[in-house]
Amino acid sequence: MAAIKHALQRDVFTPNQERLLGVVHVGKTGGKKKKSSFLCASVTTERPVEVYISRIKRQEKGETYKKQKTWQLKELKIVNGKESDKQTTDFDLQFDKNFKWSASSVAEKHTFLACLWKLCHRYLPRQSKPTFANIPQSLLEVSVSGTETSRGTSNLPGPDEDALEDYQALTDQEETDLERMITECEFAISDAEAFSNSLSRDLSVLDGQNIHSIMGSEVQVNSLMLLLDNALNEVSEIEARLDDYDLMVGAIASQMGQMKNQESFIQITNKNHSRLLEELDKLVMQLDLSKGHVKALREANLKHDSGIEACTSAAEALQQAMEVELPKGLSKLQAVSDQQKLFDTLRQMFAKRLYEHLITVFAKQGSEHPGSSLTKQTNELKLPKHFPYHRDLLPYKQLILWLKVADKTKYTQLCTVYTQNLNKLYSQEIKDFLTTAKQRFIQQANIDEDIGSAALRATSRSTLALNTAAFDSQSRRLTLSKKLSSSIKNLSGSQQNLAVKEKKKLFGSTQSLVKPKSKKLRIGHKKRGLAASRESLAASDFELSDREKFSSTFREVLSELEPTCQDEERFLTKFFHLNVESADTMMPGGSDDEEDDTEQGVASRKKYQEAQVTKDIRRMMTEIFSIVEPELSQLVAFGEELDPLNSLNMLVVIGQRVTQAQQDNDGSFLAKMLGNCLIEVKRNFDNFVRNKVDAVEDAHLGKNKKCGILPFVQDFEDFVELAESIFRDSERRTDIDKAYKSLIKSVFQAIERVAGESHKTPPEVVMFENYHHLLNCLSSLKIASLDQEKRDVKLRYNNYLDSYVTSMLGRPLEKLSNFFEGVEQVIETGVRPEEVGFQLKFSKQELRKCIKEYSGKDVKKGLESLHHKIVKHTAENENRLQRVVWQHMQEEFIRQYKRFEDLISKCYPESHISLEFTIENVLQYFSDIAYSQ
Amino acid sequence: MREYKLVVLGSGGVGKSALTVQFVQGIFVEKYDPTIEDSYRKQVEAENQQCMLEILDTAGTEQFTAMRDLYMKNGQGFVLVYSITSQASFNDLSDLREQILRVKDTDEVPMILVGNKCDLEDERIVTREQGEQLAKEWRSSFLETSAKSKINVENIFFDLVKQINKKTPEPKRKKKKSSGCALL
Repeated sequence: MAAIKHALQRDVFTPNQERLLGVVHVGKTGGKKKKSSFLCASVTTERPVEVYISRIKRQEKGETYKKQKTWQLKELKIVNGKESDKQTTDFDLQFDKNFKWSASSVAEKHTFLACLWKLCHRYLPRQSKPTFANIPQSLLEVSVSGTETSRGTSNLPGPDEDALEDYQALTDQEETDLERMITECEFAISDAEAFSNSLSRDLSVLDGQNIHSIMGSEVQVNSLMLLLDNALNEVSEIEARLDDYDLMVGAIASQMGQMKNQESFIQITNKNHSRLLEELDKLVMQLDLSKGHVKALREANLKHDSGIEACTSAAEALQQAMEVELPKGLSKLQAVSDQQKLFDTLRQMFAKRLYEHLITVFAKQGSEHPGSSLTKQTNELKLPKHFPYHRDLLPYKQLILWLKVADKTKYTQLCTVYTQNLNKLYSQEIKDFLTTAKQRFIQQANIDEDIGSAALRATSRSTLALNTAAFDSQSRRLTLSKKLSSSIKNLSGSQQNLAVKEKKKLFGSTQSLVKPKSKKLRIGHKKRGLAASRESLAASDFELSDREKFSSTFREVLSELEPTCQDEERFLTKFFHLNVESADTMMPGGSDDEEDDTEQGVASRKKYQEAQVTKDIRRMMTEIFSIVEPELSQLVAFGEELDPLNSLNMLVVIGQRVTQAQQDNDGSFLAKMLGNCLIEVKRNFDNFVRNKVDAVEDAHLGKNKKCGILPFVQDFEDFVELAESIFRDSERRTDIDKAYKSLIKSVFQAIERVAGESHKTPPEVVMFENYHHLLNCLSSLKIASLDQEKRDVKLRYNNYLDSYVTSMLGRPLEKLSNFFEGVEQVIETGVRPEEVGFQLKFSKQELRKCIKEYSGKDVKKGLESLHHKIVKHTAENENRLQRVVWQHMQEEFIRQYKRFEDLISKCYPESHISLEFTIENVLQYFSDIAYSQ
Repeated sequence: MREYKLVVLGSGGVGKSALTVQFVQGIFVEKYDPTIEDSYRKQVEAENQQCMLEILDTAGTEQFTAMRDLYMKNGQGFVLVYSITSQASFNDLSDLREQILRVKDTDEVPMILVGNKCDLEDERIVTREQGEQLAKEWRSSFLETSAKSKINVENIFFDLVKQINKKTPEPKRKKKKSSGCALL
């Protein structure tokens, strides 16, 4: 079997590069018993491994085999061992159709089937595995356990791959040799010893022959060796040469490589050089500062425009050079750091130079002798203009900007120095200016030179020592003396026409009175206050124009101050670059921290910066003009002392300015300062009004005087007239309206109160007289806000007039009145008028009796005495009012007369009874009496 | 009679004068006229006793702010007014309050937060809650008022008097005659 297998392998499978794994000698079951073919299972030696099952037939003639049919293993569907109960040699293989075979032996069959199963197991995927049926389980398991190799026959190649590869088929040559050798010694099998002997004999023979032939061929070998040696020499020679060549080529190659490297190095170096050059060029360009500039910075004359210009451009260049943003590390370069150092020293030096120069300029300006300007402005209310200073300074503008960026501390110091110097200058100027203004006021107030100069001395002293006690007393004396003077004027009764000289004389006398009396006067001040202020108000024409002068002077003062402030502010902004653009550098850190780029953030930051800048400007302005506010409020106080009424003027004037300034710039220094002043003035004004109200409330009537128009009513009228002239078109109308209202209210109360106190004059007279006066005044002034009050006054006036007339006239024809009242009563009870005369009490006789009692003469007499009384009651200079009262009397009289006549004609028709005097008579009487006065 | 010095503060045009005049004189002033400074006196009965209120109506505009320190020094109680129709006027008050506390150098000052013009509900911008919230932060009282419709006007001043009484109980009754000069 093994031989067959061997033969099969050799003849059939090796040429096909297959390896035979299992073979079984089969015959067709049911066919002839001749075992005619072999079933072989083989695998290809090449991968991918294919497994074939082939039927091979032995040719009848000769020992050759032929493959009859070949299936692939995967075609195998069912393997039926037919051994469910007993052992048999039959088995079926089902490919495309069922083939029935019977093996030559059971063992053979088993071995083959096991081999098949193994192959299937190994090479086929699980799902396409054929079914193995009716095969003893042990067979399958055994093959699976893999012990097959040890158990299998030694001739059969193991199913293991390793075992399969170990097997080496004998080559044909060996086989034939072996066969021949065996055939030559046919006895071999029978006599092994002989065989081995012959073999060893042969071997030794062969050995000997070998040795002989080896020895025989030695010469040849030697010559061969020689040849070989020669050849070797040649070869080594060639090799040596080749090595030489190779060496040479190698040298060249390395040189070439080096050259290549060098070239790229050179290129890089070139590039680097050019870049470096470029950088250096740029750097030098940026850092270079021309000699001219350096020179300018070092020694250019800052006093001349050209020098300033040169410095400006040099400073700018320096700034630019210094601001150049150098790449990191570049500053480590010696040259760069040297240059930077140079710049720094230049900067410091120039900053110092500029600083010092400007300081001297400022100092010069600050200490400029104001005396010269003072002399020329004694009589002219002018502030010296700072325009030339500004003009002188403005060329330095750019330099200041440079300084601001370059040297912050110097800049700040410069600002301080500037403000200090200017503060000195402005303080002097403004002090002088305001002293002049005060002088003007005093002159205008028509006060005697002596007092004027005294006041001036006082004020100039007071400007030096703000609000010292000296000022207080002096100015109080001033006011008092003024009041005194006017009261004296009043006493003399000719205050309006008083010539200046006479006044001087009077003053001379009163001045001596002032000192001893001043204490007393001050005590009586409040009481006299009313009279005094009244007088100062009533002091008519020239004082009125005086006040106008005051307000015009005050206006002048402000309109001088304002442009000065504004100019200075503008100059500051320009000169010190206080604006939003350069504000970033003004606020170190502050805004950078909260850097947010949202639109709102930017807007709010900008707003913040603007506010900051305004604040900065205001701070500087406040420093420079520190004198202005106290001086101005002092001026206000001075004006107030001079004449309280001046606060009205000042209120209007400053109010106007404030609104104007407000429109211009709400937060500016000027606006703030004026605002403060305005509050001051407003307080003065309120005080003034309050004092007035107090005075009205405290007013009392002189004991033995005829009442007439009450002084405070007159005063109110004057005040309103004056205030109207001042406030006519002012924005501060509401304030004065409020004052009017409170004043008039107190005036009403005072009138009623005083009327009650009056002994000599009937209260009605006091009231209607005064209300009449007020009404006249209000009507002529036409103050819209006082319309309500005007109506009230009119009502009161009419009421009081009526009640006065009725009470005074009474019933001049007493008996007639009684008679006719009786008549009326009778008529009222229902008696017809024509029948009244038939009653005893009201007969015609009775009537005639009554009428007789009032002759024309009597009536006239009665009226005359009445008129006399009226004249006595009313004030002397109120003729018009007297006439009005008289007229009212007349009307009332005639009304009564007409009533009587009416009743007579009604009740006593055709009796021809009439009064003894006619209406014409009455009118005649009245007019006679009126004209007789 | 005890005197109370009250100060009305706030931005321009929020109705400080309107509130004050409404309280003192019972009139609603329609016309806007920037105040410089006005002081009023009014005698009222609060907490069962007669009080003289001296009310200082101040300027709201930026220009007159320099005098604020003075008001704040002298004032005993403060009315901080904003308009419910203006967010800015509401925002300004915090600065004012800080200034008051700084000038007074204390943490607690009798103070009331007032949202005026509450009749203009249509134009409202500052909500009631915002006002209440701020007042809570300040630990002060809060009222929404209308000078025009006379809402809560008197309560402002009564509340303030109450606060002052609570903080500084009336000192020994001094026999101090009121100066008698009253602006009516």
